[in-house]
Amino acid sequence: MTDHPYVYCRLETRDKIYEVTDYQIHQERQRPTLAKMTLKEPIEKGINVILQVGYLNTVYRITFLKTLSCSQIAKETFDVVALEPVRQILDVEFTEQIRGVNLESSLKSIAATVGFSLKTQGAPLLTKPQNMMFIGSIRNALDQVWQVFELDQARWAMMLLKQEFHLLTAGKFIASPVEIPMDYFKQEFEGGVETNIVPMFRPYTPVIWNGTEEIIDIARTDSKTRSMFITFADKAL
Amino acid sequence: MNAKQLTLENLKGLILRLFPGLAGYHVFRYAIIKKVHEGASVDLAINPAMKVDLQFCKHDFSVDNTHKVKRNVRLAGSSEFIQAPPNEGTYVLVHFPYWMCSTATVIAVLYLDRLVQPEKDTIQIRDAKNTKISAKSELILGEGEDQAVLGNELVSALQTICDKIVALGQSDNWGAPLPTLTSVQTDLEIVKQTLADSILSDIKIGRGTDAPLI
Repeated sequence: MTDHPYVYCRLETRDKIYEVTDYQIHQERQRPTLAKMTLKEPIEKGINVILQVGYLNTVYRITFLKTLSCSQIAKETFDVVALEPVRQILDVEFTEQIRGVNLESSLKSIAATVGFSLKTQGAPLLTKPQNMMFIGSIRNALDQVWQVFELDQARWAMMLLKQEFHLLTAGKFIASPVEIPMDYFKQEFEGGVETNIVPMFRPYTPVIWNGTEEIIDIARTDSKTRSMFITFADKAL
Repeated sequence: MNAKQLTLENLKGLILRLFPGLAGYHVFRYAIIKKVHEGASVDLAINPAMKVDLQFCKHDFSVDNTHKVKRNVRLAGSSEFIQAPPNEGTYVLVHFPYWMCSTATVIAVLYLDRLVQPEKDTIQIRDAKNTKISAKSELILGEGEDQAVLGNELVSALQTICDKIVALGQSDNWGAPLPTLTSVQTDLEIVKQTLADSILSDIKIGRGTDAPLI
């Protein structure tokens, strides 16, 4: 375990970079990323930061986070909770009537409301045109689209840093699945595995475990145990 | 998150995730008609022919300006054969069957701001500018003997008399009694007396008033 590369975490603001000493990050499909972190210095509440994770000389910019709270625990120890502002986007009011639209056009209208562009990954889904009358929020509109077009496997994903709204028709990124290396493996639990921290293991990523392809649904990172808890998507859902 | 931390807002979020239709699509809404689409075509799932443009209203019938005018909303009827679209300015009820945003349907007309006179046991078709009643094979107005059956009885009575008039003064090969002027006159008298019973009923057909409703 000692030879596993050290994974560090930082918060990037417009004019400063904060070193994160300890972190727990919860990433899940179609849910906002939640991070609980310990910093050496205080950070302002309610600001947008970019979550960086460094691994093998590469820095991955994971996503935007909004700091929710910052409380001092001890000298030079500040507990910070930050949440991906997905919920704010989902709560944006969306009242629009669009007639004779298919799945892609519906989602394009929804994404355009918050200035996102629509990207589709996976085989296009054949849908009958529908007359849609959205009268609630974006969250409600997305739920309605999923219900009206009877989508089963498909998932949406918001890439806040790129301002992109992704429709993943197979519920995953289209990439060749990566096998979870045995030397990274720690233990198995119900519905998933515990591994060493690998930033590339993100929700929607296809991986191979026990010879079968799985889609990562939840990825929880804990720096204290230097572990990543990966839960696979239940294909029956 | 444990149970203690659940706020009402969290609960709302969880319930909406489980029952997405609850977010507005299970509620009947008042609306006011802005336009009635006319013209004959087949009503299709994606393109309804019976349709109206409408504006959502709040619970107190004031216009809900958070919504634009919704166009081409399907209009349901109270019966397959009675087609009576509402007028512009009429209040209606809109619903989303199956709680889906693609199923908006106007399901009922309200009589708000109209002069009405409800009568028990009475169906009123009134105050319409034009009333068109047609049937493909039979149109019966009235009940039992008191039917206005398109003058059928009068026609058959007159045909009998016409036959007798044609046969006046002709001889019969079989020696049967031939109609005489007297017998034809008697028949005509009978028809005259029963004329009212045969064809009249309590149905009054005529033009109503064109006065404004209020």
